[in-house]
Amino acid sequence: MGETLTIRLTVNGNEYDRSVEPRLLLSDFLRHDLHLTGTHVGCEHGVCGSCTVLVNGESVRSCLMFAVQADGAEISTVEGLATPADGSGIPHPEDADLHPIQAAFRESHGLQCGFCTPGILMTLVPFLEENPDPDEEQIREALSGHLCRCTGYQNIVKAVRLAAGRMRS
Amino acid sequence: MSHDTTFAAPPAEAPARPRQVGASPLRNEDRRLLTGEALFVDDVHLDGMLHAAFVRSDYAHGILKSVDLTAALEHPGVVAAYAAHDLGDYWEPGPLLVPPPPIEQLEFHAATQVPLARDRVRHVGEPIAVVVARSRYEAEDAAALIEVDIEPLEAVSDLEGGLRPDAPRIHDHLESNLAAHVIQRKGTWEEARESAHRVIKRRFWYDHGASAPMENRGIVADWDARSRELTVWDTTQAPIPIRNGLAAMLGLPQSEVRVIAPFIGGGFGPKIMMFYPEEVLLPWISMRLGRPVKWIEDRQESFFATTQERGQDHEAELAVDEEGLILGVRDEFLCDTGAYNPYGLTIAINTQCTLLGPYRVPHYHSEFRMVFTNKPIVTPVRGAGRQHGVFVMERLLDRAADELGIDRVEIRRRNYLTPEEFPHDHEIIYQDFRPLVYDSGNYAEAMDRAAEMIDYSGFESGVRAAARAEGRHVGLGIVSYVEGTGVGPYEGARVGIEPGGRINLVTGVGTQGQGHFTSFAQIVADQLGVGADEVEVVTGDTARFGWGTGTFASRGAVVAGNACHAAAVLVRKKVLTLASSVLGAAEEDLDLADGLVRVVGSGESVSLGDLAARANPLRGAVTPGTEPGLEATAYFGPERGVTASGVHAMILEVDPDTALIRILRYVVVHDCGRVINPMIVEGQIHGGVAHGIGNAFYEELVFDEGAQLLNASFMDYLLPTATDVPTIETDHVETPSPLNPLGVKGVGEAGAIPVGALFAQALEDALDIDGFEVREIPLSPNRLFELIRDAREEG
Amino acid sequence: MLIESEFMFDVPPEVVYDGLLDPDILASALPGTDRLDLTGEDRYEGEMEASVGPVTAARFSVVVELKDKVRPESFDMHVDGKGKAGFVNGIAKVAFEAKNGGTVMKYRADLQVGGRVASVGQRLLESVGKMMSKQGLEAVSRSIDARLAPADGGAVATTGTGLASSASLPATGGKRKILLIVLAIVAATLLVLAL
Repeated sequence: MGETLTIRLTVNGNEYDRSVEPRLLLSDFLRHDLHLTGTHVGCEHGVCGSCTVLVNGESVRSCLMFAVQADGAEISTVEGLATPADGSGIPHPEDADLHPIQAAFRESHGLQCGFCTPGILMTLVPFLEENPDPDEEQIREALSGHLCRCTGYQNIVKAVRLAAGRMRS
Repeated sequence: MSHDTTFAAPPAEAPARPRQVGASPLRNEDRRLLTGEALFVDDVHLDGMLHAAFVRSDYAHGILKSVDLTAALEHPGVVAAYAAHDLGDYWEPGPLLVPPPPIEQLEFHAATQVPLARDRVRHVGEPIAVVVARSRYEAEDAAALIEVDIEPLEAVSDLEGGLRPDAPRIHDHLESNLAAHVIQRKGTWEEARESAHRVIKRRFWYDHGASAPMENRGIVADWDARSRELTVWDTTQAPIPIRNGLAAMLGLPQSEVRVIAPFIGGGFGPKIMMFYPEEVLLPWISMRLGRPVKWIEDRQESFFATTQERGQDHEAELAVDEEGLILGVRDEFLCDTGAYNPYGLTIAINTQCTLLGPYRVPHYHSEFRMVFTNKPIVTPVRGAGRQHGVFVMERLLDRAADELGIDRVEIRRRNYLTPEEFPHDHEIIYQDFRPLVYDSGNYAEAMDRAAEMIDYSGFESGVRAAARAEGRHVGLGIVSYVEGTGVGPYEGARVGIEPGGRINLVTGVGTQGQGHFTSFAQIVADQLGVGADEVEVVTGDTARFGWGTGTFASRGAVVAGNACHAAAVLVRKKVLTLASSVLGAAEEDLDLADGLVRVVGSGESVSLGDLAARANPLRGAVTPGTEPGLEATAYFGPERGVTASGVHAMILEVDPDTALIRILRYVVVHDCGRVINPMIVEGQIHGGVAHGIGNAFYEELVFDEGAQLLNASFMDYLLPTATDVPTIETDHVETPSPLNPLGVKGVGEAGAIPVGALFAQALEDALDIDGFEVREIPLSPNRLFELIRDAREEG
Repeated sequence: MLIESEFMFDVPPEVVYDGLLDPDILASALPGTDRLDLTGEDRYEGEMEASVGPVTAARFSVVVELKDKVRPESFDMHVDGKGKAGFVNGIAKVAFEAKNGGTVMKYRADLQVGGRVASVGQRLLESVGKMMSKQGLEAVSRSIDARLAPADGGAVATTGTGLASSASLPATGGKRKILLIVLAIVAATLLVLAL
């Protein structure tokens, strides 16, 4: 291993201090150093969107960023998305602990193999905060930075609409 | 009327229909996937785990003169590096997974892939050496230090050229690059041609693309010498055959090898059992080093190292009478099989059989040659050759309709097999080695519904007229297809009830996202009177269930589903027998619901959990001739494949100046027999159509004349995105299959199959330019632009 | 990959043809070239390190051989470049024709490009190739101008507009440039390999 740098960052509210090689990708750091394997890697060149996480609240492709660039940042991954909540509006009691977007994906069959799903969820969180009442075109535009081979996107769009409606009320 | 994922409740007149099958309970697996808890292969982390990286050929064809590992071995962090000669007796070509079916006078030549190239490289990306290091980063650093000397040879990149006598020979043990030559006949084509009113002849090119699942392949192998167990996590669609094959190769008893296919991030064919070089090498390396080893394919590697599907060059003739009735079809085609052919004839036979479609074809002559080329290996990808056949037949019918002045829907209707004609024997052999006999279907009904949904009769005066008034070019396409699904040999399942009342279902097939954790649970739930969410499903772990083949050929629901059903029926029988003695009531007076067995008409009941505890007593004796526990294992092997079918229709807008397209509507009417879970079936269709749209208009693996792939990234190989795929409106026709107790047919591949033919017809209809004909797929805006320009220049 | 083009010199073919033997100036013409040596009759061997944008350097070794020489009409240039990111090999056919007291040089390079460059760099190959050819020629023009200026005094300054400027180059610069142009094409191809 070559030269290492020490970084300190917060992931899903937990603080981490780690020594890393400057070339270590943020995606590999999250998955293999912190064992937060919910963030997936599908292309390593910033096209598929599977590795999307939030860095200081913004959607970022973690395969296009080095871990050292995240020094001092606050990161959220899919593992931190489901927070104990009141579950308001979610009709399935077993899903009351999920984020409304997660619950809507399940209800709408917005995932099949589920590999691309965590990245899509991490794009949708800030998207719906900024666009609480998006129309279909806006939703498809927001999703267009993600590749999904299973669903044909239709039920993802449906899930976003369902989640948006619930989150507004 | 909205067909968008809304489902009618099960019909009231069918009270016998069980309550879970046919409903759409939410998926049992989703919570794990949505929260990031689901285990995929790359998520496996083991203490002391090493990482492998491969050195691959840059050349499509060449003599491998030397491989020098020295510098790599000296690199910090490197534990081992291997080239072919280091493998000793372990170096052997992989198995021929699908030998040729029993067809007379068939010529077949096998050449299967090798673990590491030894003296020859035959496609770009073929592995030459492997480095094992503490981290993947170090392994890749070291791999770059390996010196490989290759003397380039001329590469075979096209099919006709590959068969010329002077073509470079790819496999020295064969006399030519011919991999197979097969003729199948029904009736006498010449007779059909002679009596025909018209014979339509065309040449077609149809290329298929990459499977491109979002998860690349990966393997983790861990040999534990003390427990004598080799554990392999593998992104495979077929863990049990992989277990069996690895045990044989490594000289281990099958009981010491455990292959786990955990959550798989999509497969679409190429993750089937392949005995990929990496799959064969990682376990060997782990045993040699005594440490766990991981290899995860990167996206660029996957464009070469994962199998693909590819081009077919057809020359076809259709003989029709004055009424447009099909008298016969003759089709001759070349089929690219890539550098090796472990899947034998599967794809070409699928093409040959699927071409016949839902039609009555009295005379058929079909002949194909499979050709080795210096391109990556070809194995089935979603559709697996079927779309090629559908394209040829549907295009010929479109031409016949034009020439005879018959409406395109009408010409199809006239030729459909009717429900009374089933079972229908096409008198040729299918990929499952069985005669191609359709079990059931109702093609005209599917066409009627699709035509109604897309408003076929009102299109000209409605949508088209309105578009024309605005100077827009809008066209309608409508095509039919069938899909042979659910082939053998068999699958198995074990169902058990635990004393606490938990219900377990274990089956051998893996899962790649099709919802098996839910649809299989529904099948079992119905027999045991519980909810689908109360059945815990385990798939794809050979330590839990060791018999079966895998998930491919749209066979999961048909073959494994019926095995689950059979096992659940046996457990139900055990439950009733025991409950009968516990409750002192006749079995026929008992009812299973809500996890209880009740005596009908009395308040007495006993829970499944209590029964399970009684069936496994700590004292007393289990009655001789019976078994302890409420558990049963059962298998299902279909007599032959079942035939799903459907009609797709679309309205497409195209700008003749820019060749850009927009899909305005897309309708699917599909028949997969009895529907287990409409929500899941719809999802499969949506995904299949999206895949088909990609194949038709966006995705193309572009090779140069030296067989170099020119677009090996998602920047250049374009998967459809959310802005390319329209909302798909669906409806179902149900013609239950008589060949299995559940009456189901497969659905996984269907959506992708007719899309090329549909695009072609809709484009012609939209553009209405004399001489503009689509005889090739995939198209792209560029290619479409050229075709439009050429037609205009000639016109 | 086929690269085909032509341009004009104001000196006769013999002069152009004979000027192809000095590799000294080539290193300055090819960005990243560490070494370019005449290692045998009509054989040049070189090492270059190519990097584009943020992509770290990748090393390539290049062998160029001149064959089938017919003075002053034509020769073939056999190119073989190899690196970790891929390879390029093939033949550049170069022909000269007298015209209006000068020379039309026509070249047609049929190059096989393979490995990572072919598979992921294809989209950029042509545009980067053009850009690199232009940059290489501008560098050559500048260094030739620098050399010629003291000797020739009033030599026409070449202002680095790529191929267009080449026709106005003085003879001494022009004859060296032929090889440079072909090598620049090769270099451009190699640079793309590093992506």
